[in-house]
Amino acid sequence: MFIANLFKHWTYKFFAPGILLRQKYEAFRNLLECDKKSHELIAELEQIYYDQINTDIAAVEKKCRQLSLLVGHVVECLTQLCPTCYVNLTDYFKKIDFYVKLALAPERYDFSPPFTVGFNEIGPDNQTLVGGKAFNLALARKQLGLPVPEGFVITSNCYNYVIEANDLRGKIDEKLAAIDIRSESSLESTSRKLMELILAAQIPEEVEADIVGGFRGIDRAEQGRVKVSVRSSAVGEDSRASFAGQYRTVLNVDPHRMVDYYKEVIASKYSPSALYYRINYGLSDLETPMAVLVLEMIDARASGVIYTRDPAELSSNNLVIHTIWGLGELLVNGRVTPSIIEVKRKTPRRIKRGEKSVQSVKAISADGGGIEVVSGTDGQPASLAIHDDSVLRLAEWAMELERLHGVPQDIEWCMDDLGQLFILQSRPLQIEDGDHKVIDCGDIEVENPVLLSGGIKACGGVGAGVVYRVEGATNLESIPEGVVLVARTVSPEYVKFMGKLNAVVTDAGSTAGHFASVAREFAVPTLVNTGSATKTLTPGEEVTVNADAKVVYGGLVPQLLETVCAGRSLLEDSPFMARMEKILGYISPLNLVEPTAEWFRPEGCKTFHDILRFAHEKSVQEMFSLGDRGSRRARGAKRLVSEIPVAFRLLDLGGGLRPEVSADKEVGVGDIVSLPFQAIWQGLSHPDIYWDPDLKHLDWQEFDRVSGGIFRLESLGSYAVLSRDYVNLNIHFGYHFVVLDTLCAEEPENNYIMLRFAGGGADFSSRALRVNFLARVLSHQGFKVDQKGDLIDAQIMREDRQAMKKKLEQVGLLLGCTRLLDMALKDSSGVEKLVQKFLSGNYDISPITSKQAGRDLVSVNGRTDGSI
Amino acid sequence: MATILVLDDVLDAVTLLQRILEKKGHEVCGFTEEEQAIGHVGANKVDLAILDIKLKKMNGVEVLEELKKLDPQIRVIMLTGYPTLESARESLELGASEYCVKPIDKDEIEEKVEKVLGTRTA
Repeated sequence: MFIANLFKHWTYKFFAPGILLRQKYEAFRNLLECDKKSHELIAELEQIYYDQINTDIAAVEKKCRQLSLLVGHVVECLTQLCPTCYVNLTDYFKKIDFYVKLALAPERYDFSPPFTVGFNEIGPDNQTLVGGKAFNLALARKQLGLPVPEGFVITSNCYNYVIEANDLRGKIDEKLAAIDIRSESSLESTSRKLMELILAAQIPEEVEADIVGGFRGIDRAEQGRVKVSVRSSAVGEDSRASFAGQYRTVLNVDPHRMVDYYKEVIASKYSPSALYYRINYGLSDLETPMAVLVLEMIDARASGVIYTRDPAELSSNNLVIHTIWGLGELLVNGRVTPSIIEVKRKTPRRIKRGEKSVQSVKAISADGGGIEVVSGTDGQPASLAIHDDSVLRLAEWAMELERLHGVPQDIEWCMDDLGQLFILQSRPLQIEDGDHKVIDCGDIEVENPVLLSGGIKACGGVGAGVVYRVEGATNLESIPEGVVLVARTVSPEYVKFMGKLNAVVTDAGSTAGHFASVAREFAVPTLVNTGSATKTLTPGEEVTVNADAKVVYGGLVPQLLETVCAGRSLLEDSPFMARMEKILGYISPLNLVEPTAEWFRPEGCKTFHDILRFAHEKSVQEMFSLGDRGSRRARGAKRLVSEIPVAFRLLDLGGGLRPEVSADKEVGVGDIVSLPFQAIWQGLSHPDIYWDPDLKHLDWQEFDRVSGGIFRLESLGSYAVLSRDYVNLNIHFGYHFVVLDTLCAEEPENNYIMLRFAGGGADFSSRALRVNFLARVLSHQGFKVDQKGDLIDAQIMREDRQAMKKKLEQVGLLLGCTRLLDMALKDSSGVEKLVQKFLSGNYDISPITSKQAGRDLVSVNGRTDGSI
Repeated sequence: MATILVLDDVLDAVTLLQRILEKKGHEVCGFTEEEQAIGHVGANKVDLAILDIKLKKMNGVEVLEELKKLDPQIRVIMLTGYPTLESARESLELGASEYCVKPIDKDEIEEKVEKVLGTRTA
């Protein structure tokens, strides 16, 4: 391939130089196109990282794949431009490409047996195999000897195997890459498709056989009549990220229908709430495979949740036992309010029987499978079901579990008809971290009316917004941003709106629900069990909720809102961000800045950005050295000599320069016939633009030599391809570059200006300020502006020649001013001032903030014709 | 400063690395034969081994495994011109500290060596 190219190259060079030029121009245009798209992708990736945008890693993988193809193509185009020049660039590209792929590559995932594991077989290394929930439960039994129902685990390897056997990985990743978690419809539709994929999957025979075997292990004397509950036990669940209530649990399952329910549970991995939660935490789908815990079902007379610390009152030194009649689901789903028993954490354990709640309904196992909700608990509070000795036993176990894990625990328990107690689950308790300041109402003067007081704090803090009422779980229409959610009770399904809620107030519920747990993780102030929220708070009215003080005020209370700590970003320390950082390290930093520097070589390329920079620069040089190589029609690049220190090289495609200068190496501004270029030049060379006086009288040879090492600001390597109606301009100002492409002809239909401004030295926030300034000015001038991170694309189409010329002049002015923006713009207030200044005709952007500069700010009073 | 072993089937590659690292003050032994390299680690204390993957008889990942058996504390940098995700994963799982891709220049190798020597093995 290489030799063939070379032959063609030399052949054309001698016999048909015109064709060679055209081919090279093609390759050059392709390179520019791929370069452009590459920079867009890089900007998108940077934006995800710097703006901490919640995306699934699959989306990042997709962008990186596309980027890799594009950069590879750029390298190919450069090779076409000069087959002999940069042969080892490909090696360096492949190397960087590999590092990116390695940084993207997820952990190896295992889909080999065992597919099921009995409880007793769970060993200390098996946490990934059986998932957090099952592991913790096995630990409770083995190390502490606590009573846990019989059970077995369908492993995470089995889950991986099901995915592999049905060839779903690629399809799942494709759909995950397309999710926008800020859009409900995107979440809902992607979730539906993903869940369909799982539910339609075939469970391999070996797996079915193992599940049946697992059953026999727990069947004992029941002979096939044992009922079980099927619960998720995913990797990552019940740890720092609780995933509380996000996955499905199925109760009272007939073993013969196991496989169907197994699929339902693993499909729940892709429910809208679960997706939202996982992506918010920055965890990838692959690193959270789902094992499933199959536990013998206990017909609970009473059940509940123990918190080894009281989230409503951390300083109380109590653990809290929540109790309800029947199965615990109604408690964790928030449907029923529990009775509360407080016990001192330390011995002697004093018991205080607190809030007694009367349940109107309870859940029991239904005969045919599943559960049913029945009425009638004969008015007795559930706390009566457990006598003091049981309370003490539960307290003791709870503290043992806390000691074992080293952190406060959230424990599910139940009691059967014979009074036997069982532990069903234990996981870290989500409580607020220490920096949350509890706001004391007494200190702050509040004049607003108190609409509601009382209830229990499920998550502290202050939030305000418009009241949004929600009924039940089914008619959840699009919830607007920044509302205060008011409902009778909240369910785990509401988690997918968590990002939009400023506060939550409910009639019923407790701190011991899944939603409450997740609210604490997301730091959304939540007040539950108020009894009257839905009656007292009117939809549409503005309120302020102070969950710590358990008060809801009418209207906004600025004094309170100002004291609230900023919302937590769960993404900050996440695996996702860590991976993004690594990946970007091989993509984004620019090491090759100076084309004349010694390390501006393929060997100096450490990132994709370097490769793009190198290829771009070299391709331009290639194009313009065509003339130097002595081909017959010597239409090579010419240097533009001018007053301002902008080193331009011009390539005339025909009609751009006066015919008299076609053989000259240097031309003056007066030799330029290209209309668009003239217009740009008018702007660029405007007398008001401040150019450092020291540079005005620089000797050009000297400038070239010296600029290689010391001066970096003035443009180097800038070139223009022009004809009478067309200009393609590439300007490098140190770190940033501008591409301006324009057709400015007689007929307006094909006219356009396309402007791209990218990069710049300094940190991301300075670049953001600069881009802000540009976006505002360009918009004002009628450009359609698209901003991506620190990259701006602007365009104008189909205007007539006169209007185009005016715009081009403005763009020239803008470009002239832009070099100095870094020094002039220190913060966002500076942007507004500068925009006004520019639009009113003042183009002297000397450092506004520099006092020692000693230069007076030259202010020109308004151009009457130039500004639009 | 440290004792380093370099293994590559191409003698020139070994010599080049040797020269670079000796300039930094390290004590370097170079090998082109796998068994000799393994034998050397068996008989001497070596802080860091830099292994090519494509060797004469065995592959570098197997050598990595052998070295780790002889001395679990030894640090290893894999260096290859034919990178694959599979071998990268395997190497890292077997305990290699870094997986580097050729072409590699003086600066990069010096930087990686310094980084790896600065860390302790698990």
